[in-house]
Amino acid sequence: MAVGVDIWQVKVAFGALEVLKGVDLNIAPGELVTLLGASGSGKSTLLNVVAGLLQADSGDVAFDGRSVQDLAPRDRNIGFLFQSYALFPHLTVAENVAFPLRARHRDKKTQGRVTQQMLDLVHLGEAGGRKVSTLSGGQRQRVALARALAAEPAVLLLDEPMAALDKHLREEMQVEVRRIQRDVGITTISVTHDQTEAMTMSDRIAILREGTLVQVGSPEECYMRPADRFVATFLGEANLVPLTDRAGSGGTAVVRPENYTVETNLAAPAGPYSATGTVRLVSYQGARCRVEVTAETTGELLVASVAGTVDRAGLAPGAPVRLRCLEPDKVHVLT
Amino acid sequence: MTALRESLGKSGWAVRLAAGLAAFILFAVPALVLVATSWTEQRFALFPPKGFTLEWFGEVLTSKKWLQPFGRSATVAAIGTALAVILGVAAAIGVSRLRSSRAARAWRTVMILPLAVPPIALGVGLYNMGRWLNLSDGRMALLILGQMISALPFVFVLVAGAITRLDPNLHKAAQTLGANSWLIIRKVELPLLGPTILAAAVFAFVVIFDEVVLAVFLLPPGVETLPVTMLRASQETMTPALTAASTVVSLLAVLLLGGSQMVGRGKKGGADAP
Repeated sequence: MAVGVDIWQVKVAFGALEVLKGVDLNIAPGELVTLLGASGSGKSTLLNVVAGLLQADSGDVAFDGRSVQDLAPRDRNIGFLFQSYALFPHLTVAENVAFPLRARHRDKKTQGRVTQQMLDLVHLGEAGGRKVSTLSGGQRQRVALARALAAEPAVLLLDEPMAALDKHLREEMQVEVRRIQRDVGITTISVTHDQTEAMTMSDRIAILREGTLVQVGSPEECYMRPADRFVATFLGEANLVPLTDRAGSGGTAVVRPENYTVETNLAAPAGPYSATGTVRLVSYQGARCRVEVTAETTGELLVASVAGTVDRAGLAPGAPVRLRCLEPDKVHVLT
Repeated sequence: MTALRESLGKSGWAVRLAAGLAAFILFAVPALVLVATSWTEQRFALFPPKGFTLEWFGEVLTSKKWLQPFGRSATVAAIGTALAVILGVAAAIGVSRLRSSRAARAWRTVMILPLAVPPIALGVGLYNMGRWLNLSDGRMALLILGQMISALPFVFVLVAGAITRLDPNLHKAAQTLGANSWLIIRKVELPLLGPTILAAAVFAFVVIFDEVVLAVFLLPPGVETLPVTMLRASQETMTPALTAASTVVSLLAVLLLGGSQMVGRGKKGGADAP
C-alpha cells in the first residue's frame, strides 16, 4: 500500500543561487525520513519539489517508480502539513478535514465517516463542529494532520511541523505524529532544523548542507559515525580531537561530551583519546553536569557532559584536569 | 516625549474636543444646512429655513417626476454594480495568479486606468461609439457600460488588496489537498473575500448611483437618472424639493454604507484566525 519515493539528481537554482545541487534520495515504503539542515540548506526547497509546489530545473521525482515530475500538486496524491497549518479559517474543523474528500468528489456519507475516523485518530473526535479560531496551537496541528491524511495520500510531507509549538507541546507532538505515521503506515518526508526532532521521529535522517546531501542514515548511525566534521558538530555536540600523535596518521577523533569524564588526579595513567587542560566553566544542568575545558595542546574548547554531579570545589576555573574517554570503542575517527 | 504626553493629558480633553468640533464643522455642517433647507416653507432652497413643512418631502416621495428617475438610477446602479463586481473580482483573482510581476503590474495599471480618464472623455467616447454602432435604442446599455467602467477600479483595488492579505499557504494547501482552481476560488477564496466583495459592491453602487456626467451625455432628452434630475432642478427652479431629494438619497447611502460595514465586521470577526 505504501509507496516508495525516489529522488534523482534534483537541481534547483534561483537565479545564480544554486539551492539544490543534484540531490539523490531513495525512501522506502512506509519510511519516515527527515531532511535536516540549517536555514538555506535547501531542505524546504526539496520538500516543495516533491510536493510539486516548485518545479525542479532538472532531475526527477518518482512515487512508486512512476515519475510525478509533470503532475500538478493536486494530482500527486500527497498530504502536506504546513508550518502555519494553513487551516481554512472560514470552515469548521470537520469541513477542513473533509476538504480533500470533497475535492475528490467522495459522496457525503463517505466524507462524514472518514472525517470522523480522522478526527478520532488525532484524538479530536468531539471537535468536528468547532471553529478553527477556537482551537489551541496543538489542536490546530492535529486538525491539519487529520486533513492531510483524510484522502489516504500516497506520501505525507511535513514542513517544519513543530516549529510553531512551544517546547513541551513539541516533544509531545513529535511522539504523537510518529505514532500516527506508524499506525497509518504512510511514507513520510519531514523537514526540520531541530536535530532533536530529527533524532526522535525519523527512521533515517538526511542531512543537507548548502544544497548537497552530506549523510543519510539512521539517527544512531549519523550520531555515532558522522560522515564529516560538519555532521559531527551539527548533530549534537562533539569534541574534535586531532590525532597527530599517531605516527602522522592525521585523523580527527569525534568524542561526544557524554563519553568524557573529568579527572582531577593527573598522575593516573592516560587512556586513549584523553586530553588534559584547565577548567573554564562548570554548569549544573540537572541530570548532568557540563564541564568546559581549555585543551592544553590546542587551546581549543573541549566539553564533557558528566552524569550526576561533580565535585565543583575541585573544578574551580583554571584547575588542571584530565578528560578521560569512557568508551574508546564508541569514538569515531574521521580520516 | 513624556512631558508632551503629560501636558496633553492635562489638556487632552480640550484638544480632543477641538478636533472633534473641527471635524464636525467640516463634514456635518454642509450636510445639516442642506437638510435644514429641505423643510423651509419658502419656494427656494435657502438657508436659514423659514417655518417647517414636510411638503417638499411629500412631493419627492410621491411625484413621478422624482420617483421615475430614482427607480431608473437604482436599476442602472444595480446592473452596473453586478457587472463591476463580477469583472472586478475576476480580474483581481486573475492578477493574483500571474507569475510574472511585470505582467501583474501592467494588468493593475490597466484596471485602474478608468480613474485617470476624465468622465467627459469617457462620455464622448461612448457617445461616438454608440453613434458609430447605430445604437440609438441602446443608450441605456451604453450608460451602464460606462458607469460600470468607472466603478471597476474601486472593486478591483479593494479585492486585489484583500487577496494579497490572504495567507498564500491557504492556496497551496488547497492545491496539495487535491482541489482544482475552480474549487479553490469557490470554497476558499470567495468565502474569505466575502466581506471585502460586499464592501466593494456598496462602493460601486454609490459611485454609479451618483454618477452624473455620463448620464447627461448618453441619455436622450426626457430620460433621466436621479442625479440628472437633481442637476436640472438646481439649474432651473432650485425648489426645496431638490434638497429634500438629496436628504433622502444621502440617508439611504449612509444606511447602505453603515450596514455593509456592520455585516463586514461581523463576518470578519467570525472567520478571524491569528
